[in-house]
Amino acid sequence: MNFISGINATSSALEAEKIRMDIVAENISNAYTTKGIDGKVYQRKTVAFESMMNSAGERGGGVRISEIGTDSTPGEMIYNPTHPHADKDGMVQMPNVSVSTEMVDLLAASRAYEANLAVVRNARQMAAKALTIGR
Amino acid sequence: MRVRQILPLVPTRFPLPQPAIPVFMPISGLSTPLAHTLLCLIAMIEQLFSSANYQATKQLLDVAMVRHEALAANLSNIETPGYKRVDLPKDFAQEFAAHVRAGGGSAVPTPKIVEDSAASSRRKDGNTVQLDKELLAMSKNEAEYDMLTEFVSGSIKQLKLAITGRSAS
Repeated sequence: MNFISGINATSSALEAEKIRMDIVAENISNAYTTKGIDGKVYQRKTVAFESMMNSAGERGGGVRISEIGTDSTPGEMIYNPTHPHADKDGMVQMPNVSVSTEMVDLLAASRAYEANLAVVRNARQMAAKALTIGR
Repeated sequence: MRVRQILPLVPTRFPLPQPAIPVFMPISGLSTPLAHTLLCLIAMIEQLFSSANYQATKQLLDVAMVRHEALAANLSNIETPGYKRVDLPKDFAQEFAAHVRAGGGSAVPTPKIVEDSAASSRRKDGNTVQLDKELLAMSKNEAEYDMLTEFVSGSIKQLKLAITGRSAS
């Protein structure tokens, strides 16, 4: 048992939510990238969470990002003949990133992050209280 | 010198069981009534720390820690699809109450983190964690922990008061 109980689960969640926020940031920053490093239009990335066992091998461990996948649904085609990446008909393939979806995801990640910070605060108060025993 | 003036006020036939501790050199060298008084005082201290309430409080402090671990795991998996919330076994409180009622003689029920089968969810991803409920449970758990530490502290403070004659500030 840890001095601050549950700190492993909480720290793993903080890390996972942070990675999720990084992915959201990457998606938003590439919302208009019509040519990525592979020469193709940018495809939004998604994260998948999976829960872990704790050190004693029982339930109650933390969480980790099992996979970072790509969303392959096609983005919209817009007509913009002046665009350098426009095809011969003047159509441009845009990334499948929806900024509003990403913002919702960002908010959810940020709230989950805050919830876990509340857990740390709580655990710290408990540990501090244990230190005052006998005073 | 002051000690010698005060001690005769303590009844020499104190109705307490003899402590099961070896009599150390400083005590065995004293006069019989004084040694008896000291032994009785030590027995009282032992009784305080081995009382059923005190022992149960100590165990419950550990239980609160384990429960916190379960709640932390739930909150960390708040976005994991298909995650089922975990907690202490549903009948743990009853088991523990029975253990205390039996005078602490029976085996101490060990807190174990198990899946909470009673939890239901209306979430589409099958996750049974509800943020508000978890945070409420956590506040409650912390308040319980505070209460238990207060009890332990109170016992020790009382003992200190009895020894020194003044409350620790």
